[in-house]
Amino acid sequence: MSANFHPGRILTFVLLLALMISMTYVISGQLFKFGAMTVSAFAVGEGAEGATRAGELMRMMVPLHSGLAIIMTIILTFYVVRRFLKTPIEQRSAFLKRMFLYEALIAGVVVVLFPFFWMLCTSFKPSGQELVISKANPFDIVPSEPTLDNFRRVLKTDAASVAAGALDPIENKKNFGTYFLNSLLVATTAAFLVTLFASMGAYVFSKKQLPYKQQMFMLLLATMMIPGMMFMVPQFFMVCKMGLFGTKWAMFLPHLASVFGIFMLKQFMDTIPDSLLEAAQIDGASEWQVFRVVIVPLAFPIILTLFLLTFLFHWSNFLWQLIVTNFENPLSITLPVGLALFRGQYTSELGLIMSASCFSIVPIAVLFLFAQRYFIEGMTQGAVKE
Amino acid sequence: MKEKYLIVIAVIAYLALVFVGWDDSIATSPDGRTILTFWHTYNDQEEVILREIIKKWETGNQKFTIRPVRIPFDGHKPKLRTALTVGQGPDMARVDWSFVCELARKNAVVDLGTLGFETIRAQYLPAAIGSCNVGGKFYGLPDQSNCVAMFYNRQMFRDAGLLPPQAEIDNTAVPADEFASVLPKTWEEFIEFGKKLTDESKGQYAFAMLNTLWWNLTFLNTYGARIVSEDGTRCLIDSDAAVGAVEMMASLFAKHKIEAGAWRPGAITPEQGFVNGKYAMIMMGPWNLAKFKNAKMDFGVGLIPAGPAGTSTNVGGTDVVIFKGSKHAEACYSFLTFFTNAENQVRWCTELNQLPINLGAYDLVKFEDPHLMTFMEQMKHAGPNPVVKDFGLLEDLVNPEIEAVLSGQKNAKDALGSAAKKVQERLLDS
Repeated sequence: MSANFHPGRILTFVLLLALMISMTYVISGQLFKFGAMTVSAFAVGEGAEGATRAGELMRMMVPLHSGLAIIMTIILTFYVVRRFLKTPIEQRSAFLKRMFLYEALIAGVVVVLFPFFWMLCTSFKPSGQELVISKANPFDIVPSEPTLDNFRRVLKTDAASVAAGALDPIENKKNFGTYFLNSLLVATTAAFLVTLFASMGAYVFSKKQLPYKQQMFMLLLATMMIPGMMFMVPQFFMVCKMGLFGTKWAMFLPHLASVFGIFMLKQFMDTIPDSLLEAAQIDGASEWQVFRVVIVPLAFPIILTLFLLTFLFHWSNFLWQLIVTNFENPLSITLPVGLALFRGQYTSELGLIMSASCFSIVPIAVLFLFAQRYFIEGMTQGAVKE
Repeated sequence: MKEKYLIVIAVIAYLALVFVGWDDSIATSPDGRTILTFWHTYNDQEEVILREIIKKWETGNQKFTIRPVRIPFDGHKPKLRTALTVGQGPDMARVDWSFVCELARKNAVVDLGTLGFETIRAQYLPAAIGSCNVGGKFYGLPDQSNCVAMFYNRQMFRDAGLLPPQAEIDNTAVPADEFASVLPKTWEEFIEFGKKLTDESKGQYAFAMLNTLWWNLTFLNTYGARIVSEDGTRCLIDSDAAVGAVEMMASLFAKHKIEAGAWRPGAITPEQGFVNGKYAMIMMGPWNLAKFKNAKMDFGVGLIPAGPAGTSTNVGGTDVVIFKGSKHAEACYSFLTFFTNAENQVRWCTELNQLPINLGAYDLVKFEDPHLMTFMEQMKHAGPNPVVKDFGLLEDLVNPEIEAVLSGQKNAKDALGSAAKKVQERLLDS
């Protein structure tokens, strides 16, 4: 027997390989099946017959997507085995460690992304099938008779909605597209204005000399201790008196003064040395220039974090937006409120809610993708989490 | 540099968005008629019929036009509370049955007695109209009513030898009643059935239930137990009848082991377990009939097993109310009574597969779906709901006590005694 032959190592490799093969087969099987399902759902028409036909199409595609999953698994297996054999013997332990790490990470990714995958799959399920679990394989969550009806109903492009919309143009505006656009406007404007005001406020509290500054700041902080619900009725009263009921302004105006934002930014700005500001002032910078050229660029990660947090808050702020929505005017309905219209007294249209949610996570996902570097930086630097 | 471009693009995109989407004025066409606003929570199919009924009413009432406005059911209570606070409320609204008492106590809704309701009160289903009765006055009328009955999975019954095998019957042609003689009539029979249907090793249970007061009313009503006295001043939940009902409920789980423990947090819900063949029987309302059919299930519906007070069930649904802020309460009343009259109810119920609330419609409604006929029968035996100013608080006070009984931490007498004390102090006397 060779001195380099380690039965333990071989056994570990075989075990890890088996795990990898099963994970690859299951995951790629589900993904390819999902692909086949999407194609079938798009290929057929509306209604229950469409779903049945899509089911037939999917059954025809079984050899295709299971075949692809098998091919994918074989290719990956060959690749990993070849890599393992090519690796010099003394580095094989490190190889196995890395392999284990990757597998653990993939398992983590599956756990994190599973709810999203479930959401996507449920949005393709016909009404009544949402909670049905496949008897043959409980892990197979891709619907066997997919339909695009949920998306059609959400976007009001199904036959019944088109017919109703032709009669009443106002009804026609009650669709997901309107709600989405409204929410996007409200959340973006609010996030922009909150960051602007909060950063200016924080600059003053952090760097300027004011009589009773500390006491004023404490007073501001004290307002954070009062639950937001307490303000709701007085704020609603004010909004109505200002004639803003049912407008986009009403959705965010009372939340523009964000004490949390001022607090978070001030904590960060305290760490910026005063000498930087003094240097700028000696060079002849005005107050505004100091703020714009020194403070904002240095505090950019935390400002962006506040932007994201505010955007998220307004994107999903149900109660306040519900209260100030004028339901007679579909142009004032925002996404969280619009989504609630799909829920009844006893039943929820799960398929509809899921298909609408598929769209509603897009802006947040895009924002995070672009800003995640700053976001993580800002979160740790501010040391304040929400 | 790249980031600067990104920011510039983002700003331009945002400005374009504002340009396209900020304007929220909408063209409405006032035509000189008085507008009556009706906030409702109907779904798409219901709204279509509602609009047709409105048109019919408007032809006889040329001075008025009704504007139906859909609001989300989930937020209808806070929406109405805040809107009423600043005088932005509608003329009339459809609200959850449990909300009428709160609105009446806050003096927000019109006593229908002043509009002549006494003369037509007898038309409405007693259990449904009961939720509008606050201190002997009626502050609303029911527009939709529900109850629960016992759903059973025929395949699981067949597997347990309780129904003839599939080959001998054509399922689609068999009316639900055909099996009525086979189903358990009393809670004792129910437990016997349950033992045959439960197979813990396969994770199959005969029954699954939720633990909230509204669902538990079904058990309590079959024992003749009441939660509050008729005048709404005393809590009666510690009566012997209620203790008997809760002891029986607890025994299904702990002693007979035929209940799956679906009331525990994180457990498979009755609905999900039922569609997946894990639970043979669940209590459910008619709202899920279409869903279960779409799920291609082989199921039937029977009456709730009888307790000492016979078969019974709970009542759910919604009521319509007229707000005191409305200047045209009589016109609103005229519309709402028209909306719920026998003729319109027949149409509403037949097309939407819902249970009528107008007794005049009871004999005229014929459902193709035999299960709905079972619900109509069950509805006749419904017990009254407890009418309190905050049903949510009542649930919060009672549910944990019953859970303590179900999980074996307390006995029923102690738990209900403590629940009665809390309800009396915090809800009825306050």
